[in-house]
Amino acid sequence: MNPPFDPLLLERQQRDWSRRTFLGKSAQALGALALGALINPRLLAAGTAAAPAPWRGVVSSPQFPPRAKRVIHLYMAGGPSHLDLFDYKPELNRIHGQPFPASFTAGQQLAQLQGARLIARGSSFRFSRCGLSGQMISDLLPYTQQIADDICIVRSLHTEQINHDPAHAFMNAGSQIKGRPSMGSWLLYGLGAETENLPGFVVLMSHGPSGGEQPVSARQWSAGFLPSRFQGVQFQSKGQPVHYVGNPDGVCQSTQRQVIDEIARLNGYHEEETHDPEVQTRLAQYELAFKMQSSVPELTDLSREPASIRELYGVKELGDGSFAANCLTARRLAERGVRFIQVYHRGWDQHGNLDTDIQEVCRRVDQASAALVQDLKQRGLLDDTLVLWGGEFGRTPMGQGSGRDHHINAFSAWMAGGGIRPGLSWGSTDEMGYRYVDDAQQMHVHDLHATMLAAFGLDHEKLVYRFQGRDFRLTDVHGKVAWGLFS
Amino acid sequence: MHDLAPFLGHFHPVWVHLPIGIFLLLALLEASTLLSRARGLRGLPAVPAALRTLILSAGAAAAAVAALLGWLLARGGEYDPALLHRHQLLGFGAAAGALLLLALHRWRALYLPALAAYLVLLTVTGHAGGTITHGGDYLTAHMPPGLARRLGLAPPPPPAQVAYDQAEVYADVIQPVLNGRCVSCHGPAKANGGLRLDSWAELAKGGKHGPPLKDGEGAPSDFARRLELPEDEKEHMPPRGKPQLSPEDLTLLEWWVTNGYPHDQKVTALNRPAEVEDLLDRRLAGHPPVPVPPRAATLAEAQALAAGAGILIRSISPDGPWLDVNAAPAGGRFGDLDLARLAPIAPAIVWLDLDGTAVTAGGLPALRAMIRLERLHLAGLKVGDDALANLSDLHHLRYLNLNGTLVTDQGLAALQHLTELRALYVWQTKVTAEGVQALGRRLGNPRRLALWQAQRAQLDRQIEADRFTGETGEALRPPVPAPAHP
Repeated sequence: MNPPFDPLLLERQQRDWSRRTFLGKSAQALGALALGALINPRLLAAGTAAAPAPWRGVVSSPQFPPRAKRVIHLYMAGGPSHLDLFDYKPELNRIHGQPFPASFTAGQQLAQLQGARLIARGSSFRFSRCGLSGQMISDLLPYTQQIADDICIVRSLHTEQINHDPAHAFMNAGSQIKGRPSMGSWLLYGLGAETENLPGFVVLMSHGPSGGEQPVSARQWSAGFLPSRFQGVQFQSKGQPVHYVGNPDGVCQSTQRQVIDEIARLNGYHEEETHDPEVQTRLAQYELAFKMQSSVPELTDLSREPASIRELYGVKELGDGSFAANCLTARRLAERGVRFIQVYHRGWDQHGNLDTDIQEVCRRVDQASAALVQDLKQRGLLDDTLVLWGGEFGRTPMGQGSGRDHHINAFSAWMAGGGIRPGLSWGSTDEMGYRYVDDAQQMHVHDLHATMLAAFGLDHEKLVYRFQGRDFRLTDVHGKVAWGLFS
Repeated sequence: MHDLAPFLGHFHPVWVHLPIGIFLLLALLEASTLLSRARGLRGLPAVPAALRTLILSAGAAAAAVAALLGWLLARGGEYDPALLHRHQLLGFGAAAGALLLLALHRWRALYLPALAAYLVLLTVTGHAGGTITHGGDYLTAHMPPGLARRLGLAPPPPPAQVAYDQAEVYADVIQPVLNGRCVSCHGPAKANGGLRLDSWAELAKGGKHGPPLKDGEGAPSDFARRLELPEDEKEHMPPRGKPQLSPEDLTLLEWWVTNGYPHDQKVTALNRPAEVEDLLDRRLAGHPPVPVPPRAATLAEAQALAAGAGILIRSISPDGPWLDVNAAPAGGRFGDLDLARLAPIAPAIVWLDLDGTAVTAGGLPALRAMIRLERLHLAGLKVGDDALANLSDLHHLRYLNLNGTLVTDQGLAALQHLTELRALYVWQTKVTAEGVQALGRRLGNPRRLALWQAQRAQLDRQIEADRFTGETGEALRPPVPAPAHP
């Protein structure tokens, strides 16, 4: 059988070898070059080509039958309270206001509540059984309640990082250590994208009314040690989605084309000399940027969407930077073959004032999230689009003034499409919603990653990249696929 | 002391090639000797008499050792007695023949014809041995059909399709499974352990371990036990390294075992769980199997086609040739001619996305060759009802996207035999809700529907039995009886 993941690695290693030889032994440069040519004659032959071929991924054949072709990750940044949204805990409501049982918390790491007196905090919101599946969903999310039979709610998620930035990194890249590639980059590296006119990994961002929430760093969609052509590209939600995408006055598209071709030719010489993958990246980016001059205005022109669709999502004003407009853009990106679309919404970090603030953020998010699933479904896109809705961690069942603190031992998310079994409730927590129940349905973030890669037919243990002498994976040395999630 | 006989005996299949090699080399040298006398071929070497004696002695010794090892192996009794006996006679004959050859090699008039005859004997002996381990048809099983026909070795005719209502459990469902994976070692050509699985009578009779279907005291039958053992267990069947039963095969066998090995009942006489029903549906009333295209050639062809047409073609199976063809990125640049060019890989295409391409109704007949299609996107194409006639034989189709096309209720009639169809998208078309319902009624399998309804009713009763009190999830408890007052 062919080893499925060798081509890029092999090519890099051959290039590294010839370059190192060339530089290290400059006195015998000619001999070294001849040696390099003997090892790989293409090294001398290649290099003059202008625009690089579109990236098709290193995976030539999947390890499992694939189900999904793209991901839309509705990223609820800040840590949504699972206890007020998806995880109904009558026992917690019963002891509301009383001391939280020490048996749960003894010796555990807490964020801001460390050392404080712990008081149980029940949910102020009603829960309802929804749909034929009877999934329990909070009345805070009336639209999500309507799609209960299309989504699979996972209640047994747990993570390892208790502060926002490292927890974002953990959710995105499977590690709190900087410099690891994010999920979208891994997928792009493995499979490429199904478009040549748009980036394969696009990030959109929206926030609450104040805009003063925790920022989300751009390293969350970085390609880490993978070549930087695989990193996420953030589109501006307001105004021009990509700055300077239009031509300056007096420059027409044909002139622009000539300029790009000439730059590509010059970069080709440079590439030939150095064999630096970052030059390859630059060549690809120039080409992509040129194509985006026509694809982006067409993409973000939401006025082409009929009023009924805009109403479905609840888009009030076009290009207003709202979560609803971003969800609509996300669907348009999915239709155009973008592999990984991440739609961040900030504003879930309710340390205080939870009961009022969570209502506001739900109002901004609920309708468009459900509309996205419904819209994908009616277009026949939900079958191969995996939608993930969730944050970087959960919130404590113990109160923190009028809110809740960060919590890593349990949180909830939902998934839809991409072969995920609709209407399924996966995993559970203890009666306080404090910790996941450690059974076959527990789901560490690594397990979530392994499962998402499996939806694309990829074995998370085989999608590797050699860096600093070691083969790295999205799931590091962990991760177990939750096959039960698939229908 | 440990019995060395089986250990040494298993070297027989390796060792036998040594004397064969020695005698073939000798034949080559003798040919060279003969030819070297001819004019113009003087350069060829001739065998000196001393060397001939040495080679013949080595060959005879090797043949004797091979016969001895073979005898040790045969004592283990793992093989079909009749085939074994034949090979044994030939094998001892070959060893004796080698000694005889050594004895008479100085009489040149006898020696050369004897050597030629001896090579024939070696060939026959080797073939008899190969038949024991690989079965009677090991040379012809993979012969190209054209050659086989010319040699008069026509392949067995494909089994006739049996109507679902008439199908018998053993003869039409279980025996084909056994034929596929078991009979090559437990059949007329070769009956390991004395057991044959090629007919009910033989299976019921059993082999040297007794009748395999007899349930023990609270234990499964030998048949069931060996299937259930993990693959690396010594007693697991089929043996490790041999082709294993597929999950579908196992599901059917398990169903047969739990129903007490019926051998003269009709399929319809038994209770059939949904997954068994699905499999029976496919295997009995199903469609004749279509050969699987070769993987390597298909993938290479696909790469060339993708590069030429500017479309995406991706392998979607770790071991099969199956392909996902996405022409949507090419958009208007992909037309009817490009679709027709996919013909060489058509039987391997499982997913096909033509959304937003320039393909017209005139190009869609190309879909008829894509007999394995499971997902088909035609959204946004300017095609109408007559185009759907091209899909009427795509029996694997599970997903069909016709959003924004010109189809109407009438066109859907062409889909009425696509029983695998699970998702049909007709948004922004003239298709009405009634049209879809009518199709659903025609697609529905009344037998399967009745089964589902029965299962649903049973689940409802179960839910009723342990009913929940709405939100709290607390089970209803029977009311506590009031204490009796005197």
